[in-house]
Amino acid sequence: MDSLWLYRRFVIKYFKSKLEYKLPFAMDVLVNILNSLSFFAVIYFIIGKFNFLSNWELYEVTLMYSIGLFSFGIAGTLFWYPVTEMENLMISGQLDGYLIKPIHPLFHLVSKHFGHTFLGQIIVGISLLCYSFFNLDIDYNFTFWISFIVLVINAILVQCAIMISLSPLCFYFAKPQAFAMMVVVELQVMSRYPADIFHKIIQLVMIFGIPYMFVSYFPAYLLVNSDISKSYMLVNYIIGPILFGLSLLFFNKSLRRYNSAGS
Amino acid sequence: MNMYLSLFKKNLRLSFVYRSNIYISIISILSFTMLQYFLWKAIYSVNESTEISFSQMISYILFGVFIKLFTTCNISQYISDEVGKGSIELALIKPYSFFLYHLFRHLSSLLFELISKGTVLFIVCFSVFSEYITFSNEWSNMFYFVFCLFVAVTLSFFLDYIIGLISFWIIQTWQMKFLITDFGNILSGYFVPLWFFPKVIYNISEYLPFKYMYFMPINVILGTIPQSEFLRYAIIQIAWLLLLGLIIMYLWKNCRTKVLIQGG
Amino acid sequence: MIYANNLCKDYKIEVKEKGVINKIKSFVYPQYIVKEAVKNISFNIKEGEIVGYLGPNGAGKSTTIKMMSGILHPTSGEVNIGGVIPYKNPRKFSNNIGTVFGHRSQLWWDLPALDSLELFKDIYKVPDSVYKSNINLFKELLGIEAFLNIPVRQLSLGQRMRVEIAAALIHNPQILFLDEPTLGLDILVKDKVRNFIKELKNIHKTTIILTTHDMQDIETVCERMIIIDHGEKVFDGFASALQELYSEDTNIVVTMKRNESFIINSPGIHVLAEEGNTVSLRIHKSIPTPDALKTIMNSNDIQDIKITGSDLEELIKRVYQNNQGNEMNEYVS
Repeated sequence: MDSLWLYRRFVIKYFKSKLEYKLPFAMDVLVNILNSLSFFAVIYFIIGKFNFLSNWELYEVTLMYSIGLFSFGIAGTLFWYPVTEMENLMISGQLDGYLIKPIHPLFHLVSKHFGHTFLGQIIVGISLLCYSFFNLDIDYNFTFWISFIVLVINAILVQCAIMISLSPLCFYFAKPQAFAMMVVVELQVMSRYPADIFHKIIQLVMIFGIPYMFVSYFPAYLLVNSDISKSYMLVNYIIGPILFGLSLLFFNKSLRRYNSAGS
Repeated sequence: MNMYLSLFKKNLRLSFVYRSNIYISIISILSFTMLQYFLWKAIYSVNESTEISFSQMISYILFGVFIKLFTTCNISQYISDEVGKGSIELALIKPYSFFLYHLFRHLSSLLFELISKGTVLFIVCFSVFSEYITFSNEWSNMFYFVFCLFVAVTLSFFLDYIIGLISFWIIQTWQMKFLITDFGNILSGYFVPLWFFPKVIYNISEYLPFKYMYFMPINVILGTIPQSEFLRYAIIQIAWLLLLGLIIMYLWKNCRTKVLIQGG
Repeated sequence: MIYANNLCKDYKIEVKEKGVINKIKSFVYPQYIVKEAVKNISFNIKEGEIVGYLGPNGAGKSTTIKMMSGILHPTSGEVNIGGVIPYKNPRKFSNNIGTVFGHRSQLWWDLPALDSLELFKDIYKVPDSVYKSNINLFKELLGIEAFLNIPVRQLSLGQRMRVEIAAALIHNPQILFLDEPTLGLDILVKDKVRNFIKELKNIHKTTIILTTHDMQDIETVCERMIIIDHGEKVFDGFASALQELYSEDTNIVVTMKRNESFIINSPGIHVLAEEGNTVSLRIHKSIPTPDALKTIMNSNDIQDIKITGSDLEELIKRVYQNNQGNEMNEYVS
């Protein structure tokens, strides 16, 4: 609870400094809104026109895309800054300053720089979620909403886990930003398309390699198909915290390695 | 001219230092290609297309990947960084042309990318997908293709250079670059070939230069554009080159005065 | 308070070979050189001491400081601060220390200085009353009131440094690490900072470790000096001890009143040169300068005297130079 209060203080200060320049702030968010929409427009158009997916309908794909986008947005507001800035901090020596404060360095980095550009993704994500809900023929009962909330939280946690795992890569090899960008942009774009079209191997990579399947495909699948015939699909309800915890362990291990190696 | 050539060589050497990025971007490009392949394979398995065959579609994707290598330009970021740091004044009092300096810089990066990424992509794509590749082997198509390629490279450089010059006023240009790249990708046929788009979008793209940076060269090499149209399109392409060139000259004049008066 | 015993820190550096064959060889079977950055450093610092931590560049100063602040684990040896081992739990330990790294800012760039201080208050959970009294203290002694509401990126270096020092002390740490705090500051601000550091000892009994290359800093602020070179401690003591160990003969230039010849009859005073009215003399270090002066003035009518003795800078330079023979210890592993 302490941490939440502290985080709130940080974020308020961050917005205070950003909102001094309202136009650039609005532009940042707008650019991301348009970017998300343009990606979606392409998918929407292709699926609408060609109708080539046997088990995915247009609005189901919309749901899938929006869960992926929304979870990406939330994760980005928190953890994107550590991913991009860690290497600079390490090289300039400023990282040391974070290590000798009474709060966890990751938490400090997260709090210091709220990823406001991701508000664009969040806005579009929520809009598309509503859009798909209006047009889908699902029984919106209590079970559905609980399922939805849990799955979305899991998706967010998986996205966070991916980003948290990317940030300490600078301790292992130089200039990891290109790799991080590739994972977060290219691979994620692939996951926003219905994975049925891909070769089995690629699907396996997206489950066990970089787990983007859990971010959009599986949650949407579970939400539109109420018959859960395969019990292992239940893993989707707990995969989030598991991966999140693992990524934190990896982060801490990397920091310890940095501590004993020095540079 | 010697100065520019040595700059060219120096930049080439510098690009080689950052070679880890090359491997990663090759993987990125390959993953995009793979995505497109699977997507259109699925589409074609269900839909019959009378106009464009599956082979042509795959060839479109593969040639597109290469055209993209030619038309990716990052000069606007360099310029915008210099403006942001305030070191732009130093650049302006040097005894060489700002334009040529960045042109040669871009060309050396381009050459490097073509050699490093291009060869790998060539080998991978054309061995894996060789059965699908189709293209026109008429001489007129090939010649016009080279011309289109030249136009595409120049247009993309001009466009990015213009964004770079605009940074003299608004400093941060990544948002603008982002937007233009997004729209450009859609309107140039990068995600979806323009044949499939509704009339509205197709018409919009006719009036913009993006088509000539991607869709045009691919279609020429595929042979889907009748030779009778070559001349007409060539005139439009030259017109775009001139227009963008004039914009550059106009902006540049104002850039110089802005820096001299206000100082960076 | 601060207790270091046989601290050692080795760095493993991979040997990078030239040539394709060697590159492949080193990829499969990498060769390392072990660099001994810090070799058996021991010292004992009491509470409230202000210690100058000196050494040429690359001597191992920042490595030792990192070990003391908990960022780095020593290869061997131990460091113990107030009974706590810093690197065992750096985050918990950080409540006891404050750091100012001269060129690396810990403040929020886009926010007013006061906002940064408030956030530090929140991070360290400083009670309101303590915070208020500290802010007042900083306003009074560091003069930061005038620019508390200006964004940090718009502050001059002198202003920013004072805010950094304030931020480091917001939580009343027992130990303050200052790394080149006066680098690039103008004389007035340097004065303020030095006086403030001296005041700290009186107010809070803060133990201060000051790393600097500025001689004036050491002369005005430090009581004790520890000099590190090539990873080893080469001096630990007071300025007077340094004087005794390393000072050499004093040089005096005397201007005579009238065109008279200079008369001296003392074994330790040696005439170097005479030119017109000026006489250059060398006083052997065994003779205290005041005695030498008395002797000179007794037998001569002097108009002016200039003493060019060994000042602190000279002494320290000699310490560095003496140690130049021992190269950094390296061996292949």
